[in-house]
Amino acid sequence: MIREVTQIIVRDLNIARYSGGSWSQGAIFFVLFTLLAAFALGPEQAARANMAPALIWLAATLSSQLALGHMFTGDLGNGMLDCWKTSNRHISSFVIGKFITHWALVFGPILLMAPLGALMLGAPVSTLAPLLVSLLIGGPALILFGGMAAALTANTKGNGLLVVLLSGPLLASPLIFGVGAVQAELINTIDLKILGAISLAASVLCPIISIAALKVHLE
Amino acid sequence: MLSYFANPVRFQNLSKWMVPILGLAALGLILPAWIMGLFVVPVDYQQGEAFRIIYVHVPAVIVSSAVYGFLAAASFVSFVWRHSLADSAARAAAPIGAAFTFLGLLTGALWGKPMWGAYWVWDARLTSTLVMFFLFIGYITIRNTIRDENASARIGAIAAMAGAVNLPIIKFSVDWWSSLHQPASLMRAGGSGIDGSMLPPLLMAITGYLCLFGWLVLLSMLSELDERRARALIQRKSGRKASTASPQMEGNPDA
Repeated sequence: MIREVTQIIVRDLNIARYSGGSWSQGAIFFVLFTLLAAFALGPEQAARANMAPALIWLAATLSSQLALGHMFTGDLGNGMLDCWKTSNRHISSFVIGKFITHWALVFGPILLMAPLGALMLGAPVSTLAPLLVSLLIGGPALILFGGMAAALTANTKGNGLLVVLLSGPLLASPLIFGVGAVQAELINTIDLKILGAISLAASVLCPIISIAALKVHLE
Repeated sequence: MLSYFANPVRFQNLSKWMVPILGLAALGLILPAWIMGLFVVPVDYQQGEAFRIIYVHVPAVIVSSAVYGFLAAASFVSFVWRHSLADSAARAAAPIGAAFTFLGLLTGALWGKPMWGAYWVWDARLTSTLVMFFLFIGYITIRNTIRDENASARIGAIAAMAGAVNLPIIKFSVDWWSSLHQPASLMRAGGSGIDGSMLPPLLMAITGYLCLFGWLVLLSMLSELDERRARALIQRKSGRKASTASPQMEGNPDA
């Protein structure tokens, strides 16, 4: 099982390496979003500084969803998943490997860009650490909800917007508690604990739902 | 019981009786409830005349949660036993549930303005109800975008069951978080907190809304059955003329 998961991770990282950097599009969108948000808020430094954690979280939420449309479509369309199943391997290891790779490839660059974006928006340096911790804890929930939506719509052409539409309402809860955790500069522990609980619950439920959905698509 | 109603003809025979009964019951309960609520019931000592919107608002939101529960249960039955009528019940319930949720949100906003001073506040009860509205919309979108009927039913069922996580959040949101929205006063331990003169029209309205929901679902299911039958007839006729045309192409002209 663990060998199968690592097989998927290594394969997907290799594909990403030779794909011409399409995995970085989420992070580029993230930076563009903060840039445009800074323009929209105008030159007033104080107002922007207050909103910075909320805007960074919003940017991370949206940009993490955009890259997920193709998470399962390729492997479902070219028959890779069929081969995986007929060679007597678990779909669960496939799904878990996919989630881990996507977290690393989509959310990793966002995590790297987050302090930069927060500083661009004028956030005080003391908020950077809480912001990163909350993104680190809440990030898996964002990828898991989005990946679940991607699995549900895996055999629909052009499902990018559909993924955002399905996962959007579910993303409200990590967003609320993620922003709540940063806002007091010190890490707000109750909000952070609830955020962790959401991530943990999602890591149990979302792979199960994704596996069920992929099995339907394979029927 | 499940397999008994899996037969569409049996279901149709039963619902031919049920449709007029439910429709008349809905009319006979909702109209008097509204008339009593608007003109007969005494004014609330705290909220004044504005409280009368309770007779539109509370039944709508209670029934919308019930409809989501119905959608999730029907999805479960259709997913586990591949019960096609349960699937068409789920499919029929979703737009009605979305409409009830929308009505509840709208009347809630109109009630919120005089009471809280704002049409909308981002509070746990309101947000989770809004999330339920989007879950209904998402379900409808899935059913409409996935062309293959079997996959559409199964994927929709998975999504509907996953969204059921939201139901307890809606119910307990007013207890878990300090909220502007008042906590439950109708269904709580130690009896209802609503005055005896205000209660009967409210209960009548809730039952009436439920009958309305049942009436609409049955009508929608019956029309879907008729549509399927008509499509099968058309297919059989055109199949006789040109047997080369694949049936799949006829089923979805824009696939």
